[in-house]
Amino acid sequence: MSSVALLTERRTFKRLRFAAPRLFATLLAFILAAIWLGPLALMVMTSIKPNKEFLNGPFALPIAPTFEPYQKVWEGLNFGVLMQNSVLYATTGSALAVLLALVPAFALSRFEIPGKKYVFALLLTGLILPQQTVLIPLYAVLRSLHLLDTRIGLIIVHGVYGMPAQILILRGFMTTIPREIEKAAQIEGATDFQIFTKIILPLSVPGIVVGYTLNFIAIWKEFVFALVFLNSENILPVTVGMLKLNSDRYITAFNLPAAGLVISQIPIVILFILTYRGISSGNFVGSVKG
Amino acid sequence: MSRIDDERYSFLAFARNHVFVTLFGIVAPVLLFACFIGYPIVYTIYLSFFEWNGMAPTKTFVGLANYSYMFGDKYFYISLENNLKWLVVSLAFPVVLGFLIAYAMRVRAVYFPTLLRTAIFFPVTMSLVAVGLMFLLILNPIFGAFDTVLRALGLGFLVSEWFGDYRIAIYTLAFVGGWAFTGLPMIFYFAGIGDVPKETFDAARIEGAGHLRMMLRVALPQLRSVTAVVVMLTLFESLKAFDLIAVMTKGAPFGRTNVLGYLVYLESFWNSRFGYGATVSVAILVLSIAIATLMLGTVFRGAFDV
Amino acid sequence: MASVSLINIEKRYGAQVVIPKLNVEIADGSFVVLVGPSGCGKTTTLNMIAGLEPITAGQLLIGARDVTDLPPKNRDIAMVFQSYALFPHMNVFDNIAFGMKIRRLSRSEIDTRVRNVASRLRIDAFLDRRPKALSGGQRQRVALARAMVRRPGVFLMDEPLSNLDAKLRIEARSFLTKMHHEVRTTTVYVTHDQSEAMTMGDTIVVMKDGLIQQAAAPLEVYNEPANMFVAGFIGSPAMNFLELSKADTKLVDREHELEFPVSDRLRAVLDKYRKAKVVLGLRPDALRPAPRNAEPAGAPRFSVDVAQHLGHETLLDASRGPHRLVARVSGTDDSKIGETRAFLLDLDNMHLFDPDSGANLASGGTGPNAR
Repeated sequence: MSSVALLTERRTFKRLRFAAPRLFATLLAFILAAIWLGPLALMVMTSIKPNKEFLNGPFALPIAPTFEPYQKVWEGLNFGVLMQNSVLYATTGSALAVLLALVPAFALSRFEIPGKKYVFALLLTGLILPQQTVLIPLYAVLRSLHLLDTRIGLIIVHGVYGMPAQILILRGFMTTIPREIEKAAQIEGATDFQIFTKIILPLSVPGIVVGYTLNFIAIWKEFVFALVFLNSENILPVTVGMLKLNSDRYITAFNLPAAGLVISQIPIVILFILTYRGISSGNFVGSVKG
Repeated sequence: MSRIDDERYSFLAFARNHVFVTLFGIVAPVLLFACFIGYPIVYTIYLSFFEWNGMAPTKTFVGLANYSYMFGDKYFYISLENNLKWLVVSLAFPVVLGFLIAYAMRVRAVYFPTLLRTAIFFPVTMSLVAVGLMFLLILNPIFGAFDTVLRALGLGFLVSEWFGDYRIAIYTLAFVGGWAFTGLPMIFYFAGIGDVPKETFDAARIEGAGHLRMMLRVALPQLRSVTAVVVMLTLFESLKAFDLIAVMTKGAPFGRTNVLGYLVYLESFWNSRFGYGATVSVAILVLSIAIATLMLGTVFRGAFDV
Repeated sequence: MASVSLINIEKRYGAQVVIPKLNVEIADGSFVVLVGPSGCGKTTTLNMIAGLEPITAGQLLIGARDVTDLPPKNRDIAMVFQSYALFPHMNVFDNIAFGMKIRRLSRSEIDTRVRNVASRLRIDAFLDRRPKALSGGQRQRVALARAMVRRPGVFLMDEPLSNLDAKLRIEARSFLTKMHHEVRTTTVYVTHDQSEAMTMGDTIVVMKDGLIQQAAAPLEVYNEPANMFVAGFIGSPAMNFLELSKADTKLVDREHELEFPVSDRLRAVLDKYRKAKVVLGLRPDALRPAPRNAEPAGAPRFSVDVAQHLGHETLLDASRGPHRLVARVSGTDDSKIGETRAFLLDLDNMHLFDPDSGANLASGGTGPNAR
């Protein structure tokens, strides 16, 4: 509380000399909420407004809330299929990325590999890489492999491109496992593979959960690859499908895009609720800090 | 076999002793890299010397013609400028604000910190398509909520053509992107400040430091590696900026909100000039590497430890 | 049950030589303690015996088998780590059984052996608990159980008591010693604590900078230290060293009016000694203040700087000129700070050292840095 007391000595409060620090805290909270919660709340509200209430203004509370916009959008965009696809891409793509990253993370965290620095530099390139740089060649490669416009193709792409970030995250977690445990296992006769499966993997589960969740979110909101590599309507994910909401047919009726937005975020909200504590305490960040 | 610590130990000797690790932990990812990252980069550079419409079986070699075109292309410079503007906004708004919010939460200068943290972080999880759509609605000149709020606060004079006015359109986009992005630096800094030993703050307070000083002299210096990560992420996000433009403006008006990433897409898939698209891609890559090396070598020297 | 032989062992990290040439013979069934200050190479040596560090040059025999290039699991050893290194995600039973599971022993065999060892170490009540639910002492016993259950030829212990609080440490010390007497497995034990070394080992190997200073039974190391380093390292409070000049059969510092007689036993050694300067080593219990009314003439006089009363004994910090010493005297001593007192010496408790090489003149040992 004393740190808040210090706040009262700040220059900005000279005029409000006896203003309690509570004022600042409430004001700040209000402003932040307005900026970040505001739009979201607005969307939800807009999404349940029937058409005729439009002219009442954006902030008018819905007098006769309805789920009709949701229905329209769901059917019009075929959200069921979109959702299925997104879920598929996010779950499998993430799983693939984590799977590919496990052993490299193990290798980089515990072993003194000659040339480790180069491997790290290579990893970093994978993260720096703008998607646009690889769009065209990947397009060509996928086409020649007949993987263009296929679910598998996109999943593979997501898996491989998620791998560098996963390696970094998982490696961070693995370095927190004490070395002596590994030495003890060695003395007991375990091979590298056994140490990996029986010791490191079980102890890395929290890290894997974090990494997977992050990657899931990243793939869910991914847009570019899906846009370029997919064409057929039935395999599009939510992000690309939602583009249609920007067409004249939808964008003029506010409640429709708003409903579409809300629908697209529901799985993420569910995910949030499930992993709430882990993310908001921010302790997963420590693993990424290098 | 025993661990290696002798520097002259060769890679082959290591590989022989640790087959499993080498195979799946080094060879496999390196191979994947070579295929999916190395090869595309090489191919992109290769393609930049050709003209190709994406369909024809042959490509026409044009040497450096694409490059000279690029350096004379007005849209290239506009895009480049836009990327830079985007970068500046991204560094100023989400990063700085993210830090300030994180700090305010740590020193309990705001109520409901957990709720706010979730609210501010939530947009990070939203697809930019969703964010774009949302702000298309909010910034709509007729029915949008934003203008209504401005007028209600008596700031009606600030209302502009958020997307129509080509002078500010890119800033509109950048701020929308910033809105969505702020949660990420905030979380990083929130965790980072939590790791800073509380005693350093106490010591400063005893010496009479106010919050500004504590932020600048106590917190930030100890957050160098966090800042490095955050700035790098911001940097690469701004160079990659694509989604919002694709959803909200598609480069309009008159290609004035183009960014390099979108230019690649436009030129390749709409103008069927894959060669030129590749050239711009190379430009993006060179820029990214240049800035990254610059930052790592100077401002962030030693912030990462491997 | 196996002997351990280190033959001309050398350890290098790149260009840096950490252990130049090490030769140690560890008899089957003995309890050998490697002791020395941090950085002396004791843990590196242990790790080399374990196979966790490669041996740059030389030969390592365990039970007459050359194991120099064998991985740890083929060396028939078990190790107890300072941090115990228990697997946090497994319960006590699985922790102990880990090595046997890897070696694919039958389930019934594993079960019998684990329960056997667990009851011996009185941890059978905890078999299904996770390490984090155990106290420090209990965890240590689990680590010990894991090592014992495989019945290896050699136990290697890396400062296993350092993480225990003082009281537990003393209990654990006698516990380990009792275990050793029962099981009689060859044990190589590393510690930086000289009192642990003295109380637990059959043989102490004192190391410094990668070299063995002395390898002998505890009492021999105490009473006949090979050089100044060993003399100063073993025994607490440390031995006092006074640099003096040789004057016929006495040791003197004319400038500060100090004169020390030399025992008959050491006189012959001193005669053969050709240099002018000698270092006199006196353990703190070799000195006591003379009764104030009976001070012998010529007895060295020191002024008391600090008097630490421990009840059963008193430690006097005294000095004269550049010479400082610590004397362990009776609890009833009443020396006052600043008072000058004459000190009586126990002549049988004297040591002479070469000031340049540090070697003990009497035992003809080599200095701490000799290779």
